[in-house]
Amino acid sequence: MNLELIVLGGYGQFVWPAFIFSFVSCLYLYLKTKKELKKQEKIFLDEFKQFRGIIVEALPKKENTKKALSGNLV
Amino acid sequence: MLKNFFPNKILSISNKLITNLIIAMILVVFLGFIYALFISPPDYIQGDSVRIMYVHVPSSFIALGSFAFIGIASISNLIFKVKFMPLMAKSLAPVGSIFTLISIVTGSLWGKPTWGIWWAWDARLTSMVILLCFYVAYILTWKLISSFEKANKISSIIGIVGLLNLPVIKYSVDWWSTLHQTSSITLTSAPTIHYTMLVPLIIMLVGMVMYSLIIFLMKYKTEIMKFKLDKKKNNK
Repeated sequence: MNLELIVLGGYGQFVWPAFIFSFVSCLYLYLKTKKELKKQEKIFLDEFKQFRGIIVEALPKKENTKKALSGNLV
Repeated sequence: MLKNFFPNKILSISNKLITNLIIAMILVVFLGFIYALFISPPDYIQGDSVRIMYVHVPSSFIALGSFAFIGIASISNLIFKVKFMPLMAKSLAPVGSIFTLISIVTGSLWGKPTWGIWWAWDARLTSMVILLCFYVAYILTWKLISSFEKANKISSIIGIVGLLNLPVIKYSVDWWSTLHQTSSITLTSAPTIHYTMLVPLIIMLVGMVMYSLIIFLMKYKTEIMKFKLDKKKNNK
């Protein structure tokens, strides 16, 4: 293995930590954001599934009202 | 274009699109890493320590750009009452703050071999720390204040006041005598760095902008869902 890639002319001790710190920080934020999104998606879907159910039930009534108001019942 | 950021549009964005963006971003960043660490030449004065530039400079660009957006969004929110602007600004704050931190830490790591010290309270470095403080204050306002309206107003004020710090950061190297060098890349003139260093810098910048977009989309989607749930709870 070429040691020069790690040593980088004596600056490896500064260059590698800079890249590693950037990578780890970005990875941490990504994982945190993803976890939060998944959690929120679950809550949102649970909550709005019930809400959709109500809409489906309410739709026929709405249609009946529409028919009644249109005057084309006969 | 703004229509694409309407809450319902964002909610319809599938996780598959985000996954595709992640794959593209990984490829770009991987190419950038290879170029930055192994292909690009060392600087004739700074040697291989110049490679820190490939994470330091794009991070600083994104840190400043994100806060510029937060500031403009805060103005449009307070004056023009654009409803989804606070959610967009709130979603951009974490990525902006993490890149500000990366910029400070990598700058410090670059400072030691170049200036001989880890840290100096000079104008550029201090104004970047102030920017980080604005980011932290902005994020904490949303975290600690439960009332949306109140948090929105206070965070908008922080965003607008913080906006004033951006020209100070940009021109600090011209206004004061600092350890930090003047800008090598500006929007108004041709870059003063060689293309062998400019290419990996642009690749890394593109990769980091893609990363920021991914985090922003994920966070914005989360915030819209939270907002809709809170609204539903309040209507009950």
